[in-house]
Amino acid sequence: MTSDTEDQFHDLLDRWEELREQGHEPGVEELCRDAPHLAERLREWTSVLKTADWMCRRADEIADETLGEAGVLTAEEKDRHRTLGEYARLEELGGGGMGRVFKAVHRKMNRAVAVKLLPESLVQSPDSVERFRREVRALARLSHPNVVAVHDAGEAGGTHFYVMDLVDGEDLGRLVKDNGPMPVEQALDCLLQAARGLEYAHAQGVVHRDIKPSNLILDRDGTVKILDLGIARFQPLPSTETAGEQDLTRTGCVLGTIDYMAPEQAMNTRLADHRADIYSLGCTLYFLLTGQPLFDGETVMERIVAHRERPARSLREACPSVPKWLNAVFRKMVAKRPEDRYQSVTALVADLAQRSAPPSWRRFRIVAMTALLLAVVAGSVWLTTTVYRGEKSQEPQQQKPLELPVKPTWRTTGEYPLIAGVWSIVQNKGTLVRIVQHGGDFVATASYKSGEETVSWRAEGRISKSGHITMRFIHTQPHPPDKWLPQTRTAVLGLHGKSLEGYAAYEGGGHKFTWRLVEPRSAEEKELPK
Amino acid sequence: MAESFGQTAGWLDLMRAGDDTARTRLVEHSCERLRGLARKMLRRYPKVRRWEETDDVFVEAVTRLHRALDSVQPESPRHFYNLAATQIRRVLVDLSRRYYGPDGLGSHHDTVGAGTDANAVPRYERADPSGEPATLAAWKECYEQIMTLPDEQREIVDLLYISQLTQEEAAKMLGVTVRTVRRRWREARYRLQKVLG
Repeated sequence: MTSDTEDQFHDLLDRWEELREQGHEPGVEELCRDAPHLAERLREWTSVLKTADWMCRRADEIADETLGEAGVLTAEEKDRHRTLGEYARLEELGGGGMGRVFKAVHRKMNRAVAVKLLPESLVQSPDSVERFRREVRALARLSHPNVVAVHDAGEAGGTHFYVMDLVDGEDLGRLVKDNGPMPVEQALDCLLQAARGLEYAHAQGVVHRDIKPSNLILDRDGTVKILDLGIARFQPLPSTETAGEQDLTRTGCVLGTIDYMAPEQAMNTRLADHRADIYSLGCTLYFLLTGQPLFDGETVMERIVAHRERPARSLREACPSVPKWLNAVFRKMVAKRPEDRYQSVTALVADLAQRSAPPSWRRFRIVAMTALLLAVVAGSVWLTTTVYRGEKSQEPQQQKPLELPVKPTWRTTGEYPLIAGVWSIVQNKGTLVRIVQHGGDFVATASYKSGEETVSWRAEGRISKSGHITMRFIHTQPHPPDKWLPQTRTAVLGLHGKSLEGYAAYEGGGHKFTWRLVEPRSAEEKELPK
Repeated sequence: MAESFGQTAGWLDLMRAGDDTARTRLVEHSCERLRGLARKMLRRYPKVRRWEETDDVFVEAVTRLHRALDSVQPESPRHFYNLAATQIRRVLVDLSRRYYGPDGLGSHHDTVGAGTDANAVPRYERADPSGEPATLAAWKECYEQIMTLPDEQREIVDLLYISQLTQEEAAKMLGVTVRTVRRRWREARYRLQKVLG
């Protein structure tokens, strides 16, 4: 069997396992519709693998069996306390008003996830169950690097739960409590990333309604992910009266957290739209930079009234290093009347990018766009126009890295030989990248799976003596779902041990990322990409 | 054990720095897993399980693992897991050898409700449609077959089955993609189940 056929065969088995993980029992004929020649072998393998399911069971489950046999736990208790359908429950990660969160492992697939439960005390309430189901439906539609992905939902032994990515990191509330207020650059980076996640959610018709520092988690790769869309609901549809339009305050719940809640949301949740999230994000920015909530007050009512009536404090008074323009952005985010705020997160992101960009960067954009137009006119497809300003020579040591909206903070090591070769980008779901280096120039090509499609990109760049790499992404096929990639003009990277840390810049913003590179071990991996 | 994966690296560092407590924690960590696997293997044999739980088999395992860690300083979590899994498999093979068959220690212990043959599945147990080994001899065969797998597949079985790491943790440790881990794990299960029948 050729390597291609073998890969195709294992792709089918991947699919078979994924469907089983979701509780389906897929037929071989259905899976092999486009590859009937593999059907017989697939039938034999799936039959053997089903018999081998026992190898996938966890120690917890085995321990439960032992306890069950010893009469310590009844079968019903085991189900209730240790497992949730296909998931074995491990330690608790945290809790919120609408549910506790546990680390868990899918028993067959051995995959670590986070499982959020609806508290048993609320199971009896039809409103809570309905709200929980609505949350799951809203979350299942979202897929974005800055939003925690949801995979599955279910009910076992009367417990409702949903399953999401296990994110390795800390929430911004905890980070600020432990380390004190953030530097302006870091807070701005977190703000931009959270804004991008929200922009995506809003585009899908989902309003968060509980944006606060503890619902934003910073993972080990430096990516901010929005957590706990626990009270998100669908935007009301203009023509139909849906369940999403129910006035949740009617049930006595004032949703969201008071310190970050928009005035109109505290009055009536139904009145709150996506602009309430912008307000909450503004309050979050204030907390990140000062370590304090925007308004204080001894009682909940005092704070609600403060959000409605008291003017917002100046960010610069509490944190003098904040530039004037950022204070202006903040004031617009926390305006009392929704119509005085940014009318969309997209407008907020654009304003942030424009105001934060130094004049030289704005000049560069004009120069770069002009250069691009000239290149098109000349019929050239060579897009590796220099991304250095004032370049006179081909010598990398005479070039300066492009100035970006947010300054990268890494230190470079100058270990150039590190990057040439084929690498697997660890943090990016196994994306493989081939980096070919010719002196100070390099070409990177990468390929990864996004759903059913294979996404490819190509980037060309230059390495300076200081170890900075400036690159531009010039091909993507097809355009990946990540919004930033197709529009990316340049990215500056720094070598950091075996990691490339970078900042991608594009129209309207920037995006920080880290690639930890490891050498692929198998021949199968080294085949990608050419 | 999965949630302790991050701790393992920390304990290894401490152990290399001469911290004996870290060494003890690492050994306890592996013994806990050994205990789980032994219970699983013996759960159909109430008369030997009852006996085994008071046996000195775990003391022996602890001693053996301590000795192994004394002679070889694990350089990395990966090295440690390989070492621990090898020891755990050996102890389980010895354990099965010790209890099964007419001369096995278990055959001289009686348990009310169990048959006279130490290898017989107790009458009151339901038939198991899965391919899980049903006798001690089959478990012994299983652990011996794991040793004959190609290195890459054997290591995956050790990490996922013996040490109970998640696929993500195994991928991180081996420096491969989760997809590669899944593929090796699948090939190993297929191969093992074919041999075990």
